[in-house]
Amino acid sequence: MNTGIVGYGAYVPRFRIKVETIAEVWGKDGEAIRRGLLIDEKAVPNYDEDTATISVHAALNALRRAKIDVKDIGAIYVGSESHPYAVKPTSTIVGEAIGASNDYTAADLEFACKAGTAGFQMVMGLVDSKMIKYGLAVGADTAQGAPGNALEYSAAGGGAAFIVGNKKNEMIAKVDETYSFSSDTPDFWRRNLAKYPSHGGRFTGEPAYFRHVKNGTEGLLKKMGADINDFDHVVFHMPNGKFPLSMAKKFGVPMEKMKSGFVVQKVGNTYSGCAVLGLAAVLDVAKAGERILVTSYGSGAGSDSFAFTVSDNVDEKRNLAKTTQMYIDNKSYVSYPTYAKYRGKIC
Amino acid sequence: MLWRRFRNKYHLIGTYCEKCKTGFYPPREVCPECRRGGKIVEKQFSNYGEIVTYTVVSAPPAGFEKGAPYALAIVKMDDNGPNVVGQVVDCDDEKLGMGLRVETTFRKIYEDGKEGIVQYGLKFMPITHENL
Ligand SMILES: [Zn+2]
Repeated sequence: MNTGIVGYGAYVPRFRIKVETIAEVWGKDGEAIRRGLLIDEKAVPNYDEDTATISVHAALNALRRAKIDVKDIGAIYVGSESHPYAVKPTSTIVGEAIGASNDYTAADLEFACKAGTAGFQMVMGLVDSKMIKYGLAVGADTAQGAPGNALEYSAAGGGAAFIVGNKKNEMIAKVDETYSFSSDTPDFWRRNLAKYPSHGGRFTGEPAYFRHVKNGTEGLLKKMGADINDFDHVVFHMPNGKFPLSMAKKFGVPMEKMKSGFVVQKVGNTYSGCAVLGLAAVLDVAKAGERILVTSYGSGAGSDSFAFTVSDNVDEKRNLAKTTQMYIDNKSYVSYPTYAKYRGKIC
Repeated sequence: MLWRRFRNKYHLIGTYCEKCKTGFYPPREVCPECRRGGKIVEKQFSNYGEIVTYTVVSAPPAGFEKGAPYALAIVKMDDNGPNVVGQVVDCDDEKLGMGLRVETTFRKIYEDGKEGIVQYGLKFMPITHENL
């Protein structure tokens, strides 16, 4: 396998709503929910933002770091569960907005929260087989929870984009290995035309998230003959703050290896943009030679696990675009009515 | 057809008169100053600029109610770029003003009801980190 990340970019909308603000509306104990979920606040897209606009911003940041000719991008995949259209791809809107040629293949992907990493694997394959020179994979969402539902505290907007290539001297991080674990598990779903998703309550934990993230991660380690202690940074999908940290505990991964990618506390769960946003945050701070393990999770269900080694280019390239932390710090709080208006919960 | 103009809607690509060094966005095919003596070429302008003047729209036209009240500004683009009219988003009220540094941001412009096409294009937002 000879592919790597030559450019990456994050995007988080500017507005935030505090978990306490939402809890107050529904007469719940905000402090208890905040401590239970390990989420303080979540990112709220503006009324004129959607998965397409988030993807464009993330992709432009990835391009700045990649320093390649945009016309050399031969594939664009956008993974999301909130594509603006049911029929009409987000990926071609992204292609046009970043100034790509017309010589590229594109498709929109959906696999709950892991469609972004699925797209990453697809462009890896196309690059590695030399069908294309560079591929762009985006994971982005403007996730929604029904008003009053438990998901409302975590469902957030944001995303990350990656340009994958095969030239060693251009890589920010080399892909060492990838492995996926999938099974038919109905833990979370949204039927066609339904506005908000449904979920299986407690069923979303043990047989769904933990089983797949564990098997995905163990499968990757076994495939490459590695130990989890070989890694310097670990990112597990973050539907809330609690799940990835208890997964880490089971694997014996200390908190200091989790913290660089632990964006959920200040951003919320950005669904298809979640594990990938964590990876972008890690690349913002990782040192050359360090190793990164990322395991995504998508309900339905599956996990994609990746091992990366950070290249020498990282120091020079990371400063070419806004970091994830810059987006996290640039924020403005909104009230519940404003949030409801922006996200189309009323009207 | 709108889709033929995506290149101009999604990017600050306009025209430029090489004789009097004036930029036009939206693009013009004839320079109003030099007329037939001008030399018009296509040009990608800078995505960065400065607010020259602005107004706050509180009674918007149909289809734009969700953003109201919103700021509409004339922005002078860097590197001798044209003056461009656009909406300013993600900006605190107290920050909005003449001279504010802004950059383009790709946003939804208009939605044709719940079933029609979504139009995307450029708006402006405050520059948070110059050159990034
Ligand atoms: Zn002229």
